[in-house]
Order: sequence, then structure tokens, then C-alpha cells
Amino acid sequence: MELRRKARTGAKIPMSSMADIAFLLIVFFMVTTIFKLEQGLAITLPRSEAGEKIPRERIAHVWIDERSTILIDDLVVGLDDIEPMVTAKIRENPALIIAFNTDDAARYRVVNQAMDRLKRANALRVSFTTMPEGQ
Amino acid sequence: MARFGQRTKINPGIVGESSMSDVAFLLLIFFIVSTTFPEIGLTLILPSKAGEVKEVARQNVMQIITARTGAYFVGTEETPTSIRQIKGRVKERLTENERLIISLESHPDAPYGRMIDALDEVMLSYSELQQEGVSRDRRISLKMLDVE
Repeated sequence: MELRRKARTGAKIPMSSMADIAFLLIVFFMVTTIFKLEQGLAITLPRSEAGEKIPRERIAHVWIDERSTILIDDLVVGLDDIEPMVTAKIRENPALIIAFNTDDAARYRVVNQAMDRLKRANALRVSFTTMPEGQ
Repeated sequence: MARFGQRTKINPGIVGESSMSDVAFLLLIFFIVSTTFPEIGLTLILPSKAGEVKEVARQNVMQIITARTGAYFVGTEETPTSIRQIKGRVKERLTENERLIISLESHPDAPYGRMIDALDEVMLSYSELQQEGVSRDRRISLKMLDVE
């Protein structure tokens, strides 16, 4: 007599640990990834208590580091390039706010010179970016 | 003969878990995309280059000078003022005089951060006065000292 086994084993792969693996990968990549810094300048921002939030979409950044290097939105510029660059930006968006991200230890002279150029370019809304106190 | 009512089909109650990760990723991506880190700053409006120069009475101006060393001097005083005293003094002058202009003057070699500290104190004075019911227009002027 022939015995036929009718054993059907459903092939099931447990999927519940998929998420664990995926998260492990995410965490791994998050930890190992080094972001390209927008500014490329090492800046220690001054701190403030009275700082207000600035609407992000209206900002153009001016970065000034300790050694008086000036960057406008990722481009290294000289003092004389500020006026034409900002004029072009103001034409696109008249409500533009120029945010000064200046190093705590920078000399005031450079900031003043940059502000002078902004006045000439008629970019009168400025903001001095700071770190909130106690962070 | 089939006996009805005795069909015992056990439902093993399995909840599909395979899409859990999809849901988690959807949430993750949603939050990554929607999160913006607020940028914080002290906002000012610069005077326009084309605007006329106005003469202001001396008693309507409070000078706060940041020296090269980062020390603060108020007006023509010879002794430096500490950063903690600035707020009190600014508030006092502002309460007395509603047309007061705060002129923050800095030495060209003064550290920028010290000027911002002073500006922060001035901004705080305005907002504290506002809370106390004394509202004043922010009349702040930034200036570089002429030393050369």
C-alpha cells in the first residue's frame, strides 16, 4: 500500500523584521553621512535672547568668518561684488532679508563695510543671525 | 453525510505586518521633509543711502559705544558699563524720552559678537518695556567709530 503524504508546507518568510533591518540601515547611514556644509566657513554665531524667527523663504545669507572671508549664498565674494549680487537678488524678491551670519570674533569693520554695500544696493532689511541663548 | 455545525475552521488571527515598515518610512519621510529648523536673528531696517540726513537733538540720542576691547561706554562716560547694566539704563532713558534713538557705535576692530550682545540688550529693553505697557518705536542706529 502506498502512503501518500499530503504535506503542504506554505512557504512563508517572516517579514516583521524587515523594518528592523531597514531602520538599522537608516541609522547606519545617518551616522556615517557627513553633510556638506552650506557655508564652508567655520562660524561661531553670537548668542541672543531677543532673537526673532526669520521667514526662511525670504532670506539671502551673507557669511563672514573670523578672517573676514565673505560668502553670499555659497559663493566667495569680495566686498565689491556684494552690491551687484544683492541688487540682482533684490530685483527678484524686493522683500528680501539679508541675514548676516557673522562669526562672534569677526571685526566690526567688515560688517560695517558689507552693510554699506547693502545700503547702496537698497537692501535695507537685515538680520543678524544668532544662536538662541542656552543652546 | 456532512454534518453541518461541526465545521471547525480555526482562524489563526494573523495581522499583516509586512506593511508596517512602509508606514514607518512614510512617516519618517514626511517628518524629514516637513521639518524646518527656524533661523533666529535680530532684525533691523537700515537707513537708505538716498535718504536725507536728519539732525537730531543730542538729548534724544543715547550712545552705546563698543570699544576695541569689547568694553561698553555709554555716551561720553569715562568708566565702562557692564553688559548687565545696559538694559536697565536703556529702559530708564526710553521711559523718560519717547523720541530716544539708540546709537550703537563700534570701534572698527571691536569684536562683532560684543556689538550683537549690546544690540540684544537693547532689543530686550524694547520688548520688556512693551510688556510693561510702554510702547516705543525701535529707533536703533548702527555706526562705526571714525578712528583713522
